Amino acid sequence: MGKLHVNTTMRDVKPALHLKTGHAPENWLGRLKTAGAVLVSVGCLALLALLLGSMLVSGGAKDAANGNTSNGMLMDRYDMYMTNQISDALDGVLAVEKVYWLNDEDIIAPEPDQTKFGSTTDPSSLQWLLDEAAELLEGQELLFSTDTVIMPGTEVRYYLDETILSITWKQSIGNACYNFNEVKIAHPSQFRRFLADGQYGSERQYYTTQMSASVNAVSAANGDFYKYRPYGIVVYNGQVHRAENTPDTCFIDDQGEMILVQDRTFSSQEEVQKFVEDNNIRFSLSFGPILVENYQVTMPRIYEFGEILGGFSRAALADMGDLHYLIVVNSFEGGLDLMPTLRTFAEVVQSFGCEKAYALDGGQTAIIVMNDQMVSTPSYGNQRMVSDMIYFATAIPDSE
Amino acid sequence: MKFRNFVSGVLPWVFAVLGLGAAAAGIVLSLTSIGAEPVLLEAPEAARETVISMLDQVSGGDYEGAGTLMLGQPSLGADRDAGEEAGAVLWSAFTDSISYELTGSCYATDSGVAQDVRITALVLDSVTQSLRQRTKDLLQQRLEGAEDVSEIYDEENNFREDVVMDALLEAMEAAIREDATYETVQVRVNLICVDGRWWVVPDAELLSAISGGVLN
Repeated sequence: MGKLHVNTTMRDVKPALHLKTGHAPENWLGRLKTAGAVLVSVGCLALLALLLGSMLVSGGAKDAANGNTSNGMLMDRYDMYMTNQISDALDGVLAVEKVYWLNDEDIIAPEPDQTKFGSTTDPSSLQWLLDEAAELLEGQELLFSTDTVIMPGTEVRYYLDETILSITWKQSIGNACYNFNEVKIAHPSQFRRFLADGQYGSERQYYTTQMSASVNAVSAANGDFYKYRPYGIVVYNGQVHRAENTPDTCFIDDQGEMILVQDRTFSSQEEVQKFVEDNNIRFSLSFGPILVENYQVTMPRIYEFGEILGGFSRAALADMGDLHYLIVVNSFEGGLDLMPTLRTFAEVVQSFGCEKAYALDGGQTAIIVMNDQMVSTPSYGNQRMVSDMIYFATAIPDSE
Repeated sequence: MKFRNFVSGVLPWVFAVLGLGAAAAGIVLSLTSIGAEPVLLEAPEAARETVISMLDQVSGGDYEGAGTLMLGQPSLGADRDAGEEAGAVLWSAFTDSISYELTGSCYATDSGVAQDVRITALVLDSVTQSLRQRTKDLLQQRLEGAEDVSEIYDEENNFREDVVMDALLEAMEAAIREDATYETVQVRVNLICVDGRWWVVPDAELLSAISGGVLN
């Protein structure tokens, strides 16, 4: 390798250097290659970063959109849910037994459905009636049955709706004709008392069939004929109107219970009023005597009213169970002419299994009525005009 | 000398090749990873605040307000009251019962961020399942206490509608007081960031939890 001459210039050196290294200042291709490589690399990296950055925003949105289940129907769906729940709840309303009742202040009861009255001469054909009345009877047994032997030539009459079953029939017992009205009601308010013209003290009197029709009674019977004599206890619509010389009295409370009180228990009208208030008494019957208590005949040997020792038509109100009553009237008909003494009558009534029984006015007053028609034949063949009655009514309101 | 010549001649080509290779790799990577989920290194506090705001709206009964904080700003369909008064009473009790507790911090997920929340609310069925018996019992009481049939029955001898609905409302209120149970559920509230703002993802799990299962 030769040495450089000192006299050479840089212009001379450069070419020399070039020759020595193999580079030429004009080798643009190499530089271009280098620059291009660098630029391409940087550009790709930038592009890569840009793409990665955009995925940060857009990639998750797609997944989120896939998970979006909002459908904007919150209240609509909630209402649907509540409609089902309320519908189910209100189904329970149908299971609430409808209870109808009457107000004592309403003198006239709802009109019975005439299509629900019926009659037959064959008691054995009335099993359907007893089956239909099963819910109303609530397990209580009736005195009447399909095996009941009724007097020849007579018929069984009946009425049945949701609130009342009333059956009348005649039987021969000990050569005497006994007329029965067995009643089962749904509510105590259906056992009612009616005074002539709907008020205490009216001077007018009516036949029992007339009063029955005026108040829409399903079945009715005579009361105590309070206007006939100036003594006895008269309670009407919870008010004591009279309390004179008090005989055996039958009070009816707001549960339909017969409360039997012996004579001379009260010494003043105020005492009677207090008793009425304390016991929620609705009305009273004041004839007597008490015939049966605790399933036993308890009638006295001597009694002020009713000629108890003679043979007459008798009437009794008997307690057969919860809201279950029996009216018994003996009458002269069908060739059966025995008129029992009151004791004999009481023993017959007691034989029916009643817990309590109370004598109502007898004689020509004694009568049973159904659908405003006489069932029993009164003494002497004709009704007597009287001041009052007791009756049983349907509680189903009149439909408009 | 030969080595220098080798290096100076080959090096540019090496860089060029590397550059082209990098470019190609970048393009391939970008095209094949379009659907890839990004990985975030940290979750912002703003996302947590969005969850809190949304749940505050819900517990205040303002579902429409809560919807404005959800992706797509959906109307949840709660812009009116419940159709029945008894239903409105129950819905009010439900929204009043809603409470929540954020568990842990907001954290990054493959799709965005998430915040775990425990939401406690009244169980609607626990109230409605006793409605039938309660309504029946109340109606029975009204029947027994009525002084006149007209207080209970209409002209057609059916129960009066106002009496029945009044009993139903009272039954509902009693059931809410005495029969209601409450349930706590763990919910993952997902959020994503769009245009620099965090949005709650209204997925099925969240909607069910805030609606008592009505929306599911």
